[in-house]
Amino acid sequence: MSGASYAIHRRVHEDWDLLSAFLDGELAADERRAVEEHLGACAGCRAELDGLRRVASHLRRLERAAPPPVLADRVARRVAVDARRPGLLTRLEAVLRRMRLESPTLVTFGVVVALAAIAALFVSGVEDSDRVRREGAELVQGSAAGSGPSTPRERLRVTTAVVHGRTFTRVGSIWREAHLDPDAAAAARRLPMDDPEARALLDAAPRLRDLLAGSEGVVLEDGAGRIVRIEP
Amino acid sequence: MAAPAVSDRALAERHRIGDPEAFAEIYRAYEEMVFNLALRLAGDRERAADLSQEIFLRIYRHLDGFRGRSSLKTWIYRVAVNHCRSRLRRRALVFERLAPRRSPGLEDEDPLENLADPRRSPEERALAGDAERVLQAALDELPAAFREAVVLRDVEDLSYEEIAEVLGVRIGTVRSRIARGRRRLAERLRESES
Repeated sequence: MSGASYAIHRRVHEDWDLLSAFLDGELAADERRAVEEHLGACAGCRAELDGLRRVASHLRRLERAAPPPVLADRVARRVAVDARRPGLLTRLEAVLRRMRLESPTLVTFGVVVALAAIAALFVSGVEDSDRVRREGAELVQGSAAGSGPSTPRERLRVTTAVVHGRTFTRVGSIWREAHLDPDAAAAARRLPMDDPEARALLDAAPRLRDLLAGSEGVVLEDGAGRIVRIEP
Repeated sequence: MAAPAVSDRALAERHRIGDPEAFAEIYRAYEEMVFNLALRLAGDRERAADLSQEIFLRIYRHLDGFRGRSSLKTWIYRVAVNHCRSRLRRRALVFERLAPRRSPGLEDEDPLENLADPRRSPEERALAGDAERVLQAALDELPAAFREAVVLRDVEDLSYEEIAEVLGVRIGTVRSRIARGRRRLAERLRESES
């Protein structure tokens, strides 16, 4: 082995970043060649590369989780609060801007006014929170009563969820496995969630409970190809 | 990373002038992405839901500052990662971890072989849930900088260039963080199987 070749082997052997980047196809051509050459001669680095590859492969196979159905409601309510209330900083800036327009002799007065304004902001903040709590409740009631898609909650509603590798579509208040025929789904056998058969399915796929929590049922195909509707 | 779509800037502009549907479109498009990123960075679903709510509020508040220098997706990843980092660091200061979480012992030779696959039976998928916990526990033990880089690469499938843009670091730093993170994970997984 020549001196230059030895140096390249040494570098690849000691710089594990290269092996990881090699795995990702993120090396320049000369680096890639050096790594390939070294791997041909070094069982230790081949084993190391296998370990890194295994980690990457397992991470890629992690299941994509369905966000809890209540998340859209929570975001809609929180955003509704924000939409009605200018930020504290914005309001302070407005106060300070007004202060700067006053003559210097009125600065002390301005500070007093600003402090009073800050106190008022806190008071109005409490009022806002109360109002938001009331309006949050109205939002939920409105949705339960079947109000149209113009509410913030309806706008944010997600209509597709992937749970345990299966895709579900929200149809009204029901989550239905996406590949199922609507007529077959409508004729699904109904299982209350405390039914032993439903419990077995939910134990095997616990995240179905997230879908059930925000709906009136989940329609899916069980392991034997039967279509069932689990109801909360 | 591809040039930002005109529609990204248009969405931000619609939000700026008060069109509520603009934020709703963003929420629907990125809810799953934000929740899964938060889940892998935080390690549990309840915490991920809280973080996701806060992240979308930040997006709502700061979207009118989006200038289209990156894609909206990159910008949202950046908001999400920064928020998770800040919140999780604060939590770590308050609740110091007493000991590394122990992974559940599994009978299988390779518990990770049981990761979820829609073609598997419900029983097989239950086993996959255990395997996922092993991997998540290993991720939780990584320093935040390594965890972020590995999650963006191997879970979110971003390129090194995209990750550098999200994290605001050089590509060499991304390469190093991914390599170190994966190496620690590989060691941790070997331990869990022995």
